[in-house]
This record gives sequence, structure tokens and C-alpha cells, in this order.
Amino acid sequence: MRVAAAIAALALATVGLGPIPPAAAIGPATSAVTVRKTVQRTFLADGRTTVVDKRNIALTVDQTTGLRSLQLIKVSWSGARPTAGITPDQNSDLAQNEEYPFALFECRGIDSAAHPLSPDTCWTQYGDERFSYGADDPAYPAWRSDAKAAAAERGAIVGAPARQTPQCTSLLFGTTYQRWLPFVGADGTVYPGGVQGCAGQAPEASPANLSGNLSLPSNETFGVSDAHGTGSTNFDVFTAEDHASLGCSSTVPCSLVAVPIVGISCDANGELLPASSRPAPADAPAAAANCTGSGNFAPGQTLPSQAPGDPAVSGALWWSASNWSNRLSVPLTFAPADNVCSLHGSGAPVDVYGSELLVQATTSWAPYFCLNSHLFDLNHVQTPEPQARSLLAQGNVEAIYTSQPPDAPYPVPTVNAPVAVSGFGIAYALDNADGQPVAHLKLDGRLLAKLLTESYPSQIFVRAAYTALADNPLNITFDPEFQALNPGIPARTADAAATLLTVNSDSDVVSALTSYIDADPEARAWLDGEPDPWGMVVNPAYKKIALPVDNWPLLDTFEPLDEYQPGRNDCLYAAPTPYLPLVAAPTARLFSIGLDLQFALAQSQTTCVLPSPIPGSLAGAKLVANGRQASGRRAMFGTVSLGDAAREGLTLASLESRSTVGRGDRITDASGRTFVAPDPAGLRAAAQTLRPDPRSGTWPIDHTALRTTPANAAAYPGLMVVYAAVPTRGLGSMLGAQYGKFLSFAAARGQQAGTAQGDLPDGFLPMTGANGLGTLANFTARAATAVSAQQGAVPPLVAPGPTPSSSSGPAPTASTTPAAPGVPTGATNLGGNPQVPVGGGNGPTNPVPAGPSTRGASPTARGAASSGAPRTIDAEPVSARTPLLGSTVAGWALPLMFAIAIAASAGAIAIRLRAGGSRTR
Amino acid sequence: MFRMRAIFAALAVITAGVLSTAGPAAAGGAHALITGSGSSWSSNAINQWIADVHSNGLQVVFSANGSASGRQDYANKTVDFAVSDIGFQGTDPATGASDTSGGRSFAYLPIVAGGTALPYQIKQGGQLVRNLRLSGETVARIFSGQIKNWNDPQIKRDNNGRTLPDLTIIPVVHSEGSGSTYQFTRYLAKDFASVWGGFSGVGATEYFPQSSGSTVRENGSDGVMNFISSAAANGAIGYDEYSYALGKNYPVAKLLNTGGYFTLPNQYNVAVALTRAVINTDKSSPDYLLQNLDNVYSYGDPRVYPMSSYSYAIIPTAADDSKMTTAKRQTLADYLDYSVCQGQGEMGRVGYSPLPINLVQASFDQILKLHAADSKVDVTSVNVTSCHNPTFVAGNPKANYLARVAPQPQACDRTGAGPCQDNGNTGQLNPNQGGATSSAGGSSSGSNGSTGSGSSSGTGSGRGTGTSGGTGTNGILTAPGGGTTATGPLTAAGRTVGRKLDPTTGQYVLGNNAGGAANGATNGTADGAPVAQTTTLADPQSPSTDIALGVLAGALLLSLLVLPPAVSSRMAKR
Repeated sequence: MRVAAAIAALALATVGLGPIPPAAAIGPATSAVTVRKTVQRTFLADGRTTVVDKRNIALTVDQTTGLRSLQLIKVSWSGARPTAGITPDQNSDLAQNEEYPFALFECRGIDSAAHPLSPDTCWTQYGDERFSYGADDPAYPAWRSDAKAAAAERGAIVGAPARQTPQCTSLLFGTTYQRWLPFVGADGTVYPGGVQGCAGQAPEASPANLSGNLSLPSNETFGVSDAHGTGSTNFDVFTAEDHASLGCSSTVPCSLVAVPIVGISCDANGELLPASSRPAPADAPAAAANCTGSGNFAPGQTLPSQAPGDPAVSGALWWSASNWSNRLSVPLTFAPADNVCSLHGSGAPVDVYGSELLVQATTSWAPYFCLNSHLFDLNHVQTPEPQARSLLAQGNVEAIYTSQPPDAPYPVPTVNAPVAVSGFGIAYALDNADGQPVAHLKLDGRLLAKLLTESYPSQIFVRAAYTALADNPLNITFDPEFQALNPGIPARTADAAATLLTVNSDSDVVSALTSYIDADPEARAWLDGEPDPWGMVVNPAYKKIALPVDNWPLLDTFEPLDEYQPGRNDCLYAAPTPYLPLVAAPTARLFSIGLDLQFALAQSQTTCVLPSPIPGSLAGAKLVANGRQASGRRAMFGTVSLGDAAREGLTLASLESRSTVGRGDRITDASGRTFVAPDPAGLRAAAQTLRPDPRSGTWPIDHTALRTTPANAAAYPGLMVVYAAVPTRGLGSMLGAQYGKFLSFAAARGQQAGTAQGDLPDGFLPMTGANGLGTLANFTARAATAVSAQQGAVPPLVAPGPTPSSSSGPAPTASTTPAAPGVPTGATNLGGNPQVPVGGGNGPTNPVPAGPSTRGASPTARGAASSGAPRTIDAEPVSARTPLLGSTVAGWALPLMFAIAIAASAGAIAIRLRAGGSRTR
Repeated sequence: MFRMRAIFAALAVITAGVLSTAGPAAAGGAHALITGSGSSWSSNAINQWIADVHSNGLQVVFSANGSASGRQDYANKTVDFAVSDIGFQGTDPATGASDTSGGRSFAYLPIVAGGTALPYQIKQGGQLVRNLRLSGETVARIFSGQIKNWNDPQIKRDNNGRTLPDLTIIPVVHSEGSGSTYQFTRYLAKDFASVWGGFSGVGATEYFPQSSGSTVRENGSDGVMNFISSAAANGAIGYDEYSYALGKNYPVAKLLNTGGYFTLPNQYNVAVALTRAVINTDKSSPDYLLQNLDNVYSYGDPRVYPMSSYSYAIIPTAADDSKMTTAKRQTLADYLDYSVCQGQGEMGRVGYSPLPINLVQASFDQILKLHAADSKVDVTSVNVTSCHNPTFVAGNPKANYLARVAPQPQACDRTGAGPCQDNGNTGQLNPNQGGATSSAGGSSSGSNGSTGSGSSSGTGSGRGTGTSGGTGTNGILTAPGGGTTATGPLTAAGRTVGRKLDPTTGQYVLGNNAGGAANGATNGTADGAPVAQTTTLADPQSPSTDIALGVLAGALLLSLLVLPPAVSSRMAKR
């Protein structure tokens, strides 16, 4: 008995603990950093230094450790000088021309007194962000009068490479001053840059601002400080995975460097220079004029095209000594890269098709599998869930990730084993009246219904012509309901603010989202034709639409033909199509919606691109996405997975869970309504509402119960369970064992929250007893056994008999559990939970558990462990043995070996303990 | 007790260390993010591969802005690679604009096959019609404006006398320069010149000809599919790669082939069709590996989906390409290696068709040019044996297993018969499936070692009704040339490498045995490529398992000998 338990424990540990690094329990919330610094601008004249501006800056970065490739971190600041001459895109190369921007860079290295950071290792995308030149005479740009700069940096030509390329020679002909700022790559390569990068740039760089540049936006940011001197932005972290030249990694730390631009500190007369280097007296007034300016634009004013800001106070000279010495830097550290799996693993990969909700989890799990020589390459092929169910039902794939049971039962006995609990979120990119990102947003079912049903006319020319929508607000930012719930957000016209970007393929996420809307009495009544309290009505094309649906239909057919005219919209003139479906423009992948929200890439396909590639013809003219929204004036919404949102740092709305307000009331605030954020607490509360449904073999989300039960008010309604649906018959022993191993993993080790390989990342609620999900994990553990056995068993959702929470008790002996036919008992009972086939293996295909027949299967150490102490238990033991079942060796030799080894070890320990016990105390 | 547990854990760690035989395979050189643009026809495949290789540390950004834009971006050096359904044309026949690489070096390599499908929306009694059949000529007349209503007699003939509703046809075309437009118009221009030529004026073109009437132009695959499935589009028909319709469970028309059958663009019918694609095998030609599809359109096999084609990656081969670095070339090489090799296995399920081995091998040769350009690029792992590609037939690198096992069309799909009352678009990806048949029965009776056909090669043994299971009413598959019955179910996850066609008997044999057969077969491809080695999968019943277990036992014994002293000495130090 005791030996059996010991063997079980050994088996658990044998497979589990070998290659696994110690669990990292780093929570992202703990790594926020705030730094402060007083920055100033001074003028030197006649030996006297005058402070002309002085600011106390505080800089906060919300996450600084364990960062991953292309993760967004939130950066906020206060005390800065208000920005003037603002440009639409803070990451474009035009943004450097803003006056008093709050410039942010990612730089390789850590700032210290002994080794101060240099602009040389700071990334900028465009050639002109690190090159200054001109043909002025006298040649005294502001940086030549920089009082903080060494004399050598104040010459007319600074930092020029020894040999010029012909292109540079040509482009620089006739210039009177040049300031070169090379970029030094992680491998030591020096890229001199130059005008349009003529002397060589890092491969990631662009010569100049390329419209339609296909890469993602760069991360250097010329942030905008509002009238109060505060600002915030999302900063996109680059790592060596996506940016080899910058080269930040788990072994190469980097820094976020903020340069609050307050203007060049001037020494216009060259008083700090050797006499021979000073400007001629006649030139000093020009030098002073270039250096001492305080800007051409008012705070908040937009930068006119072709009119760059005053260089002395603009972001273009971010690298100058004055600006650089005002920097604040925050060290950043990075998680190990995901790039550990060999491209050519041994053996065929084990594929699971389906749900995009799980992508971040499977991305974390894959390295755990590929690095474990006992396992295999685990591959997640992303398909829409309904397509995956269809593929599984047809026998075209072995296993899928899905959040719903099939419409008709699978033709073979199949378990729906929960592998992760996550959900959907409504992400937004939205700026308040100060142009700063909105931190918290409240949305209810009716607002989501309005966005989805093409009921916002979006443009004046639509509303003017479209009688049915004549009284509706243009988009959500004009909607009094939205304004009441979310004060302080200005109304802005934008197609993307009239819709909720979502997927156009079949999707369980759409099904969950529309179930939520359907369960909201306000939303349902509005969809059925009741105007909202302010008179907004549903688009008649959607009136009384039956929900839920797994594919959101585009039903509007209105064409505002007055707009579809030459010179107004040539594309729609050439080929008129309904306008509002173009505004909606759903897309194929959830992942791409996350990316769109991350960079505020508005997807409404209403921008007509001309000229046509065929002269005189409209062929090839095309409607394209609106593209990136101007920072400070963003307004767009999208459906995303919670996993993607956490990974990318997206901001998510709180969703209404309950309302006690009368449906017809013209609300002015959020009182009487409960909104729940998709945080662990909200997910945990929602998880408490899950109830097993033996008919479907799942734990369905009951949105009606969520809405109507007061106790559920704290539950986040976007919760979704992702199941691995795997047949328990017909896979063959090898595949059955592999999928069984995976399910065992998912039941235990895969629920360990963290950022290490194999961990469950943020955006998922671990299936643990503490989260009220022990039953789900327990079922998955038992399902693993059934999948390994391939005897057609489908275990009951809830284990019968004693609850599996008593982890202290000894494991049951083998004799208490009847073996499945054909399965040798010795191996099966290595801590496992044997399965009893349902209906003898050829019975009904409906995975209905047969209660009485499973009575003999009592919970074991596995079951207990998976709900009680998931962090210490590994996944594989039972199924790891399964492929070996047919072996004669497995039947007796291995247990014997284990027993001998353990006995010997125990003996040795006992001896040692007795001998050395006093010493160890 | 606690102490005991700790010891067991320590024991386990050591044991596992002993048991661990292989660490991760040596990684190649450093990687860097690469960007590409082009074909939206193949972007579902490309994006899946991008997702797959993330855990391998490859960062790839792809923008599906259309083949024409992709080639232009490539020429302008704004991208590291392009994906295009056609090659550079020199001069675009429609626009007269230059269509060259702008002096940038390039090589083409095929990355995936697929069928250009014809998604449509016809509602009859509020329900979507799902089993529309069309001949190519009818398609040509529809898209040239000569047939304007779904109740047209010619459409009625295509559907064997079934009348479709009185509903205006809305042709939906791509507004961007699109490879799918090219494949679509090429097919119509080539095979239905009398109908199409008068309308188009040009042959194949990426820019759909200007037309009046109700033609709708939409940007990109999302735009086309969004419109076709929208409420405004009752009566619409468009064209795009099959995967888009599959993901929406949206109906596509069955297209008449030369053999007289109406077929779907599933992986089998595409694979059969492309056995007649003429690939340029002149390595000195700038069009090396590009396709001529004339014989595809005219191939008389009843299983052919005529509008089948390959899509291509375009990669820079010059050593001095200013856009490229060693790390980028490494990423490109590894990404494409995965795509044309292991990445092919999943393609059939998502609406494409995997490349046959000779094209995989040819693509590998193109990938090696990245190494030729920069010897620091590690291509040692580029190896066809690790592909798990379901098309492979050992010993015959030109053969396509999928084409061999492709099911014959149903009788009701023949011209003059039917139409079939199936859903038109639902799966049927597995030839052994044969409809909603007895997959359950197959699984119970099918295999699991009874004949060895299933268990060794793993996978969906018994999913179908193969002969090994003995229930194969619908699973009788005719192998070309022999009428030999294939044995048992096609495995579902690309593990068909375990099952080989014996070149002498024409019989499919087990992977374990096929090793010998393949080794005997040898020979190379026409261009001298080596023969793929068979990949055998361990048979749990085989003696080798016991050997492995013996090793395991030995390892345990070793731990037994080593551990107690180790523990003792460790404790002694405390």
C-alpha cells in the first residue's frame, strides 16, 4: 500500500520534474516603476546662467520585468511641458517635429553613473531621426550652441563617417553642417545612417517615412503632454525576436528612456568653447536665434503640414546633449524567448485544431512539449471552432479545441475535456478630451448591439439619406447612453467608432458575445424594435434578429448614392455597394483584431485609393481600410480573446452584468448598473456559476442565469471554457496515449500560472480548486485516462464517490478499481484513475456518462492532486505508461524496478537519517 | 513523510536526467523579424504557418495586400519576401505597367496548392442553396454579363433541370490586383475564349476587366467574402481560395470538369488536377518552377477540380541584397522550410492542398540559395524526410498520394445526373469518409492492430471504413493504373508517411515495412533530387518497444545503484 503510493509519487515526479525549470511566480503587477527627475533649460550669456524653464517630471511604467516580444507597456508621466504642434501619429517620423514632446525610446543597456547610456544604442526607425543637416549660412543650428555638449560635438560637421558613399556625397552636396548619430547594433555593427540612410542603416530601419510601410509601427514615441503636463501612451517593446539589431533579450537588458523635451540649453556665444571655435561676432545673433526659441505653436495646437516645429524645442534634437542629459531611464528585463522548439522535431507533430482563444496558452505550452523528450511536438492549428467540430465529426482530424459541444453528437465517443478557462473581451482604442488613452470603459449589451447591428449611420451623408436611421447618433461617441456611462469622452466622427470589429468566420466567440447580448433585457427589447430612451432605433435589417448566432451577418443594404459620385468616392461610384457593411468590415482572425486595436488600425473599408494602375480607368481602384487613427483622437472597438489582450497589453472594457435601472430611463450616469472587468476576480466569480451539463458533456455558460441571479453580479459575462474534444475510441494506442498525455498536462501542470515554458499565461483563469474549477481539472485528468485507453469510455463530468479534495489520504490500491477490458492493471494503476467504458464500447455515440457503471472508479492521488495541489503535480504519469502497456516488460519489470529503487533509497535515507540526524538539526 | 517525498523528488530528478536521451535539436543561427506581402489567396495558409513557427522563434509579418502589390513591394524592397500567385510578367497585360523585380534578384518557390472556389449566395425560400453546379462556360457567361439571372436555362441545364429562383446575378470580383483574379480569368480565357475573349479583350489579368451592370468590386478576400455573405448579396457569386468559404461554412459551386463531373475544390480534387500542371523545370529559366495550367483545365479525370493552381513565394537570392541580413535569411529559410515541409500536413483541413514531394524538393533547392547567398545561413536541417507530408509516396517522388486516394465523384455529380443532395460544402475531406458513414463502426472494427494498418501509423485508423476494417462500403479507393484497393483509412493528420505504396505491387503497405520497399526503390527525381526516406513510427507492439523498455529498466537500475550513495553523501554534507 505504502509502496504503491510511493511508486505513484515517483512516477509522477519522474516524468514531470526532470526538464522543468523551477516555477517562476512573477506577477506582472509587481514590476511597475516610477522615477522622478527635475529637468531644466538654461541660457548662458556673459558668464551668467539663467534657468528659463524647470519641470519636475514623474515617469511611471506599468511593467518592467518579464517582458515579451511586441508587448505593450503603459507609460505615463506628469510634470512635463505641454506639447505644441501635435502630429497625428506619435510613432511616425513627422512626430519628431512636435514642440515639447515627451520622447520615449528603447535603448540597449542600463543607465549608470559609470556607464551612462548613449543615444547610439537607442532605436529609431527613420533616417532623419538621427541626422541633422542643412545649407544655412551661417551654419549655427541649435545643437551647435548646446551648452551641455562637448566642444567636439559643436563643430559644423560631427560624426561623419570616414568614407562617404556616393549617394551620401550626392545628397549632402552643398551642406554647411551635418550631425551624424550612428546606431550601434547588438552585434557591434555601426550604422552611420545619414540623410535617407545613405551611409547604411540597420536592416530594420526605414530611409524615410514610407507611406504604406508594411511593417508594424515603430516604437520610438514623441508623446503628447496635455495642458496639465501629463500624458500617457502604450509603448511597444521590441526584443531580439523581432528586432535583432536592438537585441534586447533575457540576457541583454535594455531601458526605456524618456527624454522630456524642454528645449536646448544655449551657449549662443560659444562661451564654453575655446576661443578659436566660437562663432564670429556677426554670427552670434543667428546662433542665438536658432537656439533660444520657445516654439511656434500653442499647446495642443496641431502641427501644420510643411511647417516643422522650432528645432530648439522640438523632438528632432532628442539626442542633443541638453535633451539627453534630461533623460529618465527605467531598466527593462525580458522573458526567455519562445524560440526553443526545433523546426524538425522528432516524429510527427500532434495536432489539435480549433479555437483561437487558446493561442497564447498553446504558445506557452508548445516549448514544454517540444523540450521534453518524453513528449512530442504539440501543434495548434487555428481554425474557427465550428469548422473544427465539423472536421472532428467527419473524422478528418483527431482532436480539436472548442468552446461548445457539437450540434449533433460526435459519431464516436468523445470527451470534452476543459483545458483552459478564458473568454472574450471588448478591446478599445479611445482617447479622452485631453487626447489621453481612456483607462476604464463601461459597455452594456445594448451598446454592443447598436455597434453590431449597423445602427449607427457613421457619416452625415448616410444619415441624411437613410430615413430609418435619421434620428440615430452618428456613432457610439455621440450616443447619450455611452456618454452617460463614460463621461469625458468627446464625440468624434470615425467609421471605426460606429462598429465593433469582429470575426467574419464562424466562431464560438461570436456565439458567446451574442448570447450575452440576447440575455440582456434592454438589448433584447431594443433589438426587437423598442427605441432606446433617447429614440435610437435598431437598423430595420436587424429588427427581431434571433440570437445567438455563430456568424454575425451583415444585413444592411443601404447605398447613399449621393455620395457615390465621381470626385466624392470614385470606388463606390464605379461599383456601388452598401456602405455600412464596409464600415463593419469584419475580418477572418481574432488575432488580427488584437493587432488592429494595439496600433489603432481602423479597418473600415471606406477609403478609396486612386489613381488606378490603369490610366483613365477605375479598374484597380480599391476601397481600403481607413488605417491608423491619429493618436489623441482614437476611437475604435473590437472583439478579442482575453489571452491576446493580456499578451499585447490591450485595454478592455468592463461589461454590464446587471442593471436595476428602468429600461426607459434616460440615465445620466452608471448608477444602478454593475460592470465587471475581465480580471481574475471577475473571471473567478463567473467560474462559480459553471454547472456540469451531462447532456452535452460540458459546463455551459448560462447567460440568462448570469443576468438574472443577483449573486452573479460580480461575474464577468465574457467567460468561456475551452475544451479539447478528443475521441476515446479509434485513435490507436500511440495517438491515444499522446492526446492522453496532453490532457493530463492540461489538467495540472498546464494550469500553473506564470510566464515560464508550460505555464498558463495571463488572460486565463487557472483551473484550480481555489478558483472553483477543481471539478473541471479533475474531469480532464480522468478524460486523459479514457483517451489513453481508447476503449470508448466517457467518464462522468463529476467524479462519483468521495470528493477528490482530500489530498492527504493514501491512494487507493489497485484492487479497488476494476480494470478496463484489455488494459493491464499493473500499469494503469500507477497513480491513475482507471476508466470504465460506457456501454461496453459499442454503444450510443452520445457522450452521456452512465453514473452507476462508474461507481467503482474512485478518485485517486491524481484526482486529488490535480484539484488540491496543482503546482507540484505533473501531468504525464498515467498516460506516459500507456504506450507501454502491451509490453511484457511493462507488466512487471518496471514496477519492480521502481520498488527496488525506492526501497533502496529509502533504506539509504533511513540509515543516513539515523546516523546524521543530530547533525542536520 | 515530508522528508521521504523530498527524496523521491530528488530520485525522480536524477532518474529523469538519466532517461532524457535527446535535448532540443540544435537551433540554427540567429533570427530576425521578416516582412512579406502579397497574395490573399494563400494568406490563410501563410498566417497558419506564421502561427505555427512562433514557438520556433520565427517572427514573420505578412500583409495580404494582393499578389500585384506584393510583387511591387518586393521590387521596391519594402519587403523581405513576397507571395504571388503568378510570376513577374514583365509588362502587365492589362495595365501596360512594368511588372518586374526592378533588378532585385529573385527565385520562385511553390508554397501551397489550392482551388479557386466560387462562393455564392442564392436564397430559395429563405434557405441558402448549397448544391449549385456550374460549368466553366456558364461561369464565363455570368462574369462577362451574358447571363444575368439565376433562372437562366443554361444554369438549369448545369443543374440537371433544376430551376433556380428568378434572381439577378451579382458577380463579385476583386478590386485589387489579385492573383485569384488572374487564375480565374486565365481559366476562362483559355478554355472559353469564344465567350470570354470578346468581353475581356485581354487574356489572363490580375485586374478584373472593367464592366458595367451589377458587378461588385471588393478589396481582398475578406472584402469579397464579407460582401457575398451579406444581406445585400442575395444572388451574388465570386471567386476566392476555398479556405475562406470553408471557414464560414459558406457554399461554393461545384465546377464541371472535362471528365463530365461537377467537383469541389477540396484537397483531393486539387491534387488530382495538379498532377497535370506543367512545371517549368529549366533551372536556367527566370520562370523556373512556375506553372502552366492548360493541361489541368483539360484533364479528363472525373475527380479534377479544374481551377486549381499553386501559389509562390518570391525570395531574394543575391548576396548583396541590401534588405537582407544573415539573421533575416535564416528566418526566411527556416520559415519557408517549415511551410513547404511540415506545414503542408495541415493544409488539407483548412482548405488548401499539400504540395507533392517533387515540388517540396524543388522548393528546398530554392531555399538553399539563401545559403548560397550567405554561407552563414544554416540550412542543414532542410530535409525532406521530416516533412510528414500526406502527399508523399515512397520511391516515387513525382507521385501524389492524395491524388491516388482521391475518391471518385458520386454518380449524382455527373453531368446529366443529380444534382446531389449533399451540402456541397461540407467537408468530405476524407475519401474514406464517404458521407456520414459508419465511422464509428469503422473505428470499432477497423484496426487497432488487427491488421496493423492503423496502430503503427497512428492516427485515424478506423475513422473511415477501410478494407482492413472490413466495413468499407464507401472506402473502396481506386489507385490509378491498377484498380488496386487501398488499404484502410487515410490517416487524418498527415501521418500517411507511415503508409507506403509498394512500387511493384501497387499495394499500400505499412510504414514499418515500407522502409525496405523504399530503400529498394531509390532513384531520384527528374532533376536529381534524392528520394525521400520513409519515416517510420514506432509500433507499440514491436520488439523495439521492449528494447526501449529494457534500456529504461537499465537506466532505472543504474539509478538504483547510483542514487542511494549519492543521496547518502549529499545528506552527509548537510
